[in-house]
Amino acid sequence: MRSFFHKVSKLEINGYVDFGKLEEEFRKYFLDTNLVDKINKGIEQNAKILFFNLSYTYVGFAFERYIVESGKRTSLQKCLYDSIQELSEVGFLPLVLYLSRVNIKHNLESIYLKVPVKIEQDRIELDRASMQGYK
Amino acid sequence: MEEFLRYSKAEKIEEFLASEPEILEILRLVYWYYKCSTLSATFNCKKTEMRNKITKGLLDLLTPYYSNIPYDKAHDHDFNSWIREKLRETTPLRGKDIRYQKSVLEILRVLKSINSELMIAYLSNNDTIKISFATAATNEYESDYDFIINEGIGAQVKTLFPQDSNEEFFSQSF
Repeated sequence: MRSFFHKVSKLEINGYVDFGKLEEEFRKYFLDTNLVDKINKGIEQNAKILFFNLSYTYVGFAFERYIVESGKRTSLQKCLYDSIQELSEVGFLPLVLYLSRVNIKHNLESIYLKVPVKIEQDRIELDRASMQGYK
Repeated sequence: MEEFLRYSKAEKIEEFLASEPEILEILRLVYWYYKCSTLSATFNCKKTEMRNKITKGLLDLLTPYYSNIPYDKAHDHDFNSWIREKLRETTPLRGKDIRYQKSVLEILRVLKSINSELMIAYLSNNDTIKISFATAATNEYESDYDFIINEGIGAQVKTLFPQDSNEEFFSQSF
């Protein structure tokens, strides 16, 4: 538990989660863990939209803090609506990230990203080079 | 619920607290299951898939006691009876059974994954976005969707758990 909060506190500046640090941590998290496999699995399953529940991860907790602290809350409905609008865009797969938390009331935070994909031998797959910033 | 009532009556609060995460997760499952069942008749397609996921952990636990009942084809009433009977059979041993504890962790993980799917499916539904369900793929060439948006957009839900240890996952108060 200590390491959970410790990891998040390393992303703070003046007591608030810093967007630059969070973005970098998020990128590392995506590439260092088995998330890439999960994205590829979702693509293999022919999903047109992916949802990731980050409620149980430290990066999700940091993400939630950033959204709340910066007042950038977006409804799930808006995320989903925007994702559907992006479906026609070639080279990307919409990924909706969400977190649910029960304190006094039930909270749901969400945001959507565009995951770069490429077509390789008639198969769609994750474009890792783009994700790592090489392209 | 039987366990919940028993622990409350005997005021064995510590024992109850030990079971609290599982009970809460099961209550969440009941809630979102009911909510999704009101969305679309296609929700029936999800039943077998969900049962298979939940009983996978239970079957590991119950292997020594398991009698071959076709749980995936049974009606609701038969399935409920089967679960109740199997859980009752294991009660005397489970306090000392490490395999039971591991199975509970696995079941909890599976329940959280299922609840994630059901919750996001139900909350995504509104006047302009309609959610329906499909049967799980039977081979690698078939599409496999957790739910379908507006009858054509397949969606997959992945629940991420901490990689390094289970300690973080279970010590958070959600």
